[in-house]
Amino acid sequence: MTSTTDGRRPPDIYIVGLGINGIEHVTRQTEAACRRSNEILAVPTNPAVLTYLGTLCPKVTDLHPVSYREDERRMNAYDTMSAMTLAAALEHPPVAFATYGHPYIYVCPTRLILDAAPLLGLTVEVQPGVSSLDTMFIDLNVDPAVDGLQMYEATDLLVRQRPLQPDVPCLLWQVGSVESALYSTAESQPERFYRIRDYLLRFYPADHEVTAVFSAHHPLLEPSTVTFALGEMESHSEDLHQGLTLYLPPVSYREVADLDLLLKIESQEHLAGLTKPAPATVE
Amino acid sequence: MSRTAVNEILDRALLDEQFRDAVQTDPDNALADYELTDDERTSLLSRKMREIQHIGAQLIVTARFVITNEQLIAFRPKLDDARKAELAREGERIVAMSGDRTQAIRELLVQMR
Repeated sequence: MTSTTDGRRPPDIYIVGLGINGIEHVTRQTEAACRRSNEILAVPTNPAVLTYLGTLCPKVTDLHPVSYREDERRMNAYDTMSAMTLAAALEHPPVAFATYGHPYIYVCPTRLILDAAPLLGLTVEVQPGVSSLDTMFIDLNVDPAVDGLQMYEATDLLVRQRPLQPDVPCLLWQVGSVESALYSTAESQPERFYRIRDYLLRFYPADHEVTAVFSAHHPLLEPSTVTFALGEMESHSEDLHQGLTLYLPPVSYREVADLDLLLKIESQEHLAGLTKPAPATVE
Repeated sequence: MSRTAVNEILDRALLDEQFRDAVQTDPDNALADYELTDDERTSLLSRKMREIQHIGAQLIVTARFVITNEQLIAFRPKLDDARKAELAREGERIVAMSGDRTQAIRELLVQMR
């Protein structure tokens, strides 16, 4: 838990995550922070979440309609969300900035608030939340322990030309809003995905099956997954909305390279060489 | 009227666990008081986001992160002491302000980049 407080007095700002599926993922820690707050400034996935937050705190502000403007820089929205939260904290601390998901995963305002708070004499406590990463593991039936995980923001991947490892599961976040830092609710044209498709084809074959995934964010919904051949990505532009993540499973599996080590991992003798002996007990 | 019913049902199901369970296990009774067309009912019970959105559900889907030109500059210099002091003074000025500080803080955030 990131905290800029001295551990004795409450922070001026709680930054909390509401999880993914409605209010089902709200932690007790988050509820407690919300109850302690004089105002919750929220970025929910459903308007009803605001009703729930209203049962925890007398003042709830929906940041979505006051922040996002069609065809404008998304950074403007994040600046507005952050500035409103910081201003509220100066007026009537403590306040909570509550976003869906985990507040440290793909949330610009968290970093903005943390960077600006010290300049305004404010303290901040960040609490973890259930992330879409957590829910996607289940939706995709992927355990990162098996072959690892690589993940990138889709536009960042292209701008930096990051190399990919085809033997490691890959998540590409925000693929539906690729190539633009502007906020838009418009549906994408197929042409939008030509560049990223061609980039991915450097590492994966055209017939490689990939999955566009969006975890359920309401308890009446099931996760949304659409699987298609990578070479046909653009023909699924209708499915590739801005909240979506693209999963590319490994195209091959890396063979064992150190068989000698593999044979030792279940050896007690090898473990004894790695660990300190237990202290002698006094009888 | 039917469109509003869809959102009412979604809102209630999010907040009321018993109602939510009833929609899934006994939809005839759970939805009896709501005016829904056959298509709306079918879409609602499909559990598929796109189908539910097409009948007017308010389900918000947004990206929450963006790379910026500032982030893409390799080896960008850290703020020097003079710049940090300047930002600190600006922060103090904002704290001392009366009235709405939101716009001044927005400008501070931009200056920090």
